[in-house]
Amino acid sequence: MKTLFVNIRYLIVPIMSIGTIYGLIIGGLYIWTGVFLFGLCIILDTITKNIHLKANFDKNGNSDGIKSLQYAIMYLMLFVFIALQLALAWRIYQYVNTTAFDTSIIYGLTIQNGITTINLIGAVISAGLWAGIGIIYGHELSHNKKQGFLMSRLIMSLSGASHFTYAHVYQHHLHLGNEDDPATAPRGRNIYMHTWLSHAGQCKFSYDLEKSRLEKQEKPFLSLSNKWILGYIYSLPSVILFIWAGGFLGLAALLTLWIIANFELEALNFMGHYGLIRGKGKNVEHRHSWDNDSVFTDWFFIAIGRQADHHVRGETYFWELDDVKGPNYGIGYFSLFLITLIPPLFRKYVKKHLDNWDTNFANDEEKKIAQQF
Amino acid sequence: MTILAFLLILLWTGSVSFILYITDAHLHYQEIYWAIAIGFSLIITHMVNMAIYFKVRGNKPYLWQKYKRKGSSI
Repeated sequence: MKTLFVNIRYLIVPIMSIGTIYGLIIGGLYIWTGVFLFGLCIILDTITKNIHLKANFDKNGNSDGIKSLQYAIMYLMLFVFIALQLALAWRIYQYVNTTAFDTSIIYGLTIQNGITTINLIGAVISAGLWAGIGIIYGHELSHNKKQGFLMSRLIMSLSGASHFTYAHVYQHHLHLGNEDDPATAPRGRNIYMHTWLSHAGQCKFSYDLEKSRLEKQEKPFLSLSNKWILGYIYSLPSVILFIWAGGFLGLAALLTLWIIANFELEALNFMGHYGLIRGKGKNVEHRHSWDNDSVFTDWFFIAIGRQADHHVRGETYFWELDDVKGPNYGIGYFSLFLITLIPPLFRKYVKKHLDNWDTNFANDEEKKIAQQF
Repeated sequence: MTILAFLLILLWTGSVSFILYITDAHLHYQEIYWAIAIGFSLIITHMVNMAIYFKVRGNKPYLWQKYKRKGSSI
């Protein structure tokens, strides 16, 4: 029973993503299901912020997580996110072709055909919010070179961010807490500026990586051997789908979806490392990441908030990550995300946490660097 | 430099958009071959945009210097 519970508690995102797709298909006000569910998550995360659970192991110290099940779910999520884009594209197609407002019954489901402008906006926001959540699977799979890397690239390509898989593992994990890592936000940078700088910085890393690799192999940069280019080719089906569905409007919808998704991705990076400092070349330790292990955040984001443990044991499966007493804001990701949206409020909120970090976690070198900000 | 980078990006994207417009892409996008061709041109446009930004903005536009009150590179 305990094993079952440990494994099904990570199903919040799959269930809610399917709920969002269901809303897009049913139509009418149900189009806004994704937005409603996201709001519900903010409330659930806020009211459960003080509940913290440890990772679960049996009496022999083996994890209760079932790898084959968790991997099957993560692989399946690629198809869920494809279905999400298909559902949105279908609604855009209906809007552009001014499909008549009527209802039809398909497999017992009453579907509202046709879509209003306001509901189309709701459809794009709903899809964008949940497409962005796909990051958590792209992230987890990026850490398994043999069984997850390609799947991670494909999931991230649905958000136009296939470069993330390389940059996360070979740049962020090596340089975090240092200015060589674009995904670590220094003190004073706001989430909006961080989103662009981090996205472009990671993309540049992948570009440079391929440039130097192909030069060594004496292959041309402009080729399908170039994984930076290949990453964008993976995104091509999405672009073609949305162009076909709605022309300029379809393109605008896809761009909005990509912007929302990448904003969520960079928000996670922002919340995971904001203002923390590590001397160049020094070991990565628990104090170099903000932990976030409120129960809802933990289950929803498949333990991505257990950053302190994750960055020290990067190859460890998410269900085995534990509380290692790293620095912690004390509130879940959803609540914190809302605060980051208002930069002056976030700076005020984070000050006491950074002061605590400087006093109780930082070593002398890190303190010296912190004084420069 | 950031403004220059975005101006060049705007210029390049505008040029591609103009070419798509004069070839009547906006009238044919629901024909699958047109959709594929437009999709290819737009993804290439995006890749060139990123390359323009990298070229103009330099290696590490995300360095921390701007946010520091004192001290040099970390």
